[in-house]
Amino acid sequence: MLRTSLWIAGACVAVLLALAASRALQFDREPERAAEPPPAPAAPVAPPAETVAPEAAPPPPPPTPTQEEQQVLDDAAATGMTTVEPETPPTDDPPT
Amino acid sequence: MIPGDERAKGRVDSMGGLRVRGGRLGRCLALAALAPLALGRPGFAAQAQPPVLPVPPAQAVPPPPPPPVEIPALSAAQAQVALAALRGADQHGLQPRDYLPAGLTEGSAPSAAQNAALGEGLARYAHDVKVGRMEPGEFPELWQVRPAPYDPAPELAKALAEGRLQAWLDSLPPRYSGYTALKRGLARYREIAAAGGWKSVPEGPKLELGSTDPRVAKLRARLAAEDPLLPATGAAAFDKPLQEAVIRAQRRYGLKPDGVVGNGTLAYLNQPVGQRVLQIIANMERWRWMPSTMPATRVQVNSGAAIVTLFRDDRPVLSMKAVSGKKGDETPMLASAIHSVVINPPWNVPTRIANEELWPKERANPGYLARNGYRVIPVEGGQPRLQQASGDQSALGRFKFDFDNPFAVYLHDTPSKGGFDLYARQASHGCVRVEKPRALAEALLDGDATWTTAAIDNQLLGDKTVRARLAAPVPVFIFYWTAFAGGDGVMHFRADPYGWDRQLLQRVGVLAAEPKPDAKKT
Repeated sequence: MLRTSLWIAGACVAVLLALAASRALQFDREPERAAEPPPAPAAPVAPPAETVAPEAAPPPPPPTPTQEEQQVLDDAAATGMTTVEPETPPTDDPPT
Repeated sequence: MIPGDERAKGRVDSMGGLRVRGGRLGRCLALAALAPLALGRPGFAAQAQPPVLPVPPAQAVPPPPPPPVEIPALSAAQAQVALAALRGADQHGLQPRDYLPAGLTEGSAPSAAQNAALGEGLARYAHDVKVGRMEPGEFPELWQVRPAPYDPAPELAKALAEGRLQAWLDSLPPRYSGYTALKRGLARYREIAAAGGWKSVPEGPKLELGSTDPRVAKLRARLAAEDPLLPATGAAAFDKPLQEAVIRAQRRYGLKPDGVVGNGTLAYLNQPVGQRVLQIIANMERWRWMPSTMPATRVQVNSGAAIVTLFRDDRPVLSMKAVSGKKGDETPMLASAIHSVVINPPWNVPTRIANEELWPKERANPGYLARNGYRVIPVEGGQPRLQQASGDQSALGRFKFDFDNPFAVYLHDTPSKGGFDLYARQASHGCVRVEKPRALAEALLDGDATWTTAAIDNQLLGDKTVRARLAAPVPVFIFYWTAFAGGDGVMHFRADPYGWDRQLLQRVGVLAAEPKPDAKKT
């Protein structure tokens, strides 16, 4: 009986140790991130300056189609422009 | 890397701690997490699915019609939305008077009877703007591109109940660019008509660069009415800007763009603006018969302009001139799917062509059939039939593109290449001859390990007939467009070679029906 009790107590100790070890390993911890810089000291309040958005470079113009490509586009229009027009976004008009 | 793998990699990276410390357990868990992503990666399912054709499956027994839906009374706000939509029906080439209740004036509240009539008018408008003014049973046999039956009442009742009438109305017209461009064109040509249209230019000697004919001023004014790039007034002589405007006009009408105005070009220029408006309305009606979506890879044919285009991933990748059926042998409008390319096809001559064309030639000129590669195949208990052997003289050329249809028409090569140099190319018995059959065959068989370029070359060395089945059938649509906008939005017109525009406008009541021959006698 005593031996059995000791075995049970030993098993409980083993389980507790395992739990303690798993907490120490912190499986559920977020991956380490780079340390954030300390917050900058508060600057004196200045009137909000007009922010000038950096000028986005204009998208490059689409390449001019070759004569053959243009012919294919013209022919496609002649056989029916079956591209689908984008759906108009829903407006905030009152329900009708 | 495929998108699924990318997401999975990100997930593994975010589990860095577990992966390092967990050892084998971590790797197993990571793999377990990866598995569903890899198995469910986009593209697998799409590749496995067969292409879906927009042709509705034939139903042996039609389901019983649902019970009629009662359209609820419109609120005051809904009535105003409905009236605005019905008054704007002419923007879609429809007649507002066909839908508006009688006696309803601007701003006045409709009576109960008018409210009910408004609901009914709205349902009629919804039907007409979505699927057109013809019921499926009213279509001539050759017009096989047709909409499914459509009852707008349930949708209308639901839209009214949910307070989204305007959104529902906006969803009804076809959403294809071709339709939208015609709608803009209709507004533009009505503006031209409202401004007085254009005056015809009298026939006479050819007008070309340097001409000082008094008709030059009339020609300039005529072209300027349609062409914003040309000022209405200018030099009395036929100058370079006028020549360029003539070339632009000839391109718009599918004529030889030589800058010379003969009576052929004048015949197109002298069509009144009202005729162009009607042509646009007829073509808008046809757009309503189209399936709501098109497969990404498809072949489109316009028998009215005799042009073929192959689309891949919704982009045109190959186009060519065609020769379509002549008046009396019209190429039908249809939707099907090309299932095979026949290399070195023989021509099994249809009985009508044999009787009306080939046997008379043989009788007038004995030996004609043998000299042209025809053989007579006896038919037990019937008339012998004719077959022309495959090879260079075969009327089908070296390639035939087969698709199922009730008219036994197909796309094919031809030994008569001269037909493609013409500008009015309606000359066949109903099939569609294509200008670049080899390029079309290679594009359709692209990716087939058996039918490489070398294998096709090898097959063409002889005359042996072989059928190359496509791994996935490619949908083919044969349409009839006589008014369409180019990529720049400028309207183009063709003659109505089959007279189908007039026929359609008569069927939908835009033009008065011609009296039947019997009626003339009485």
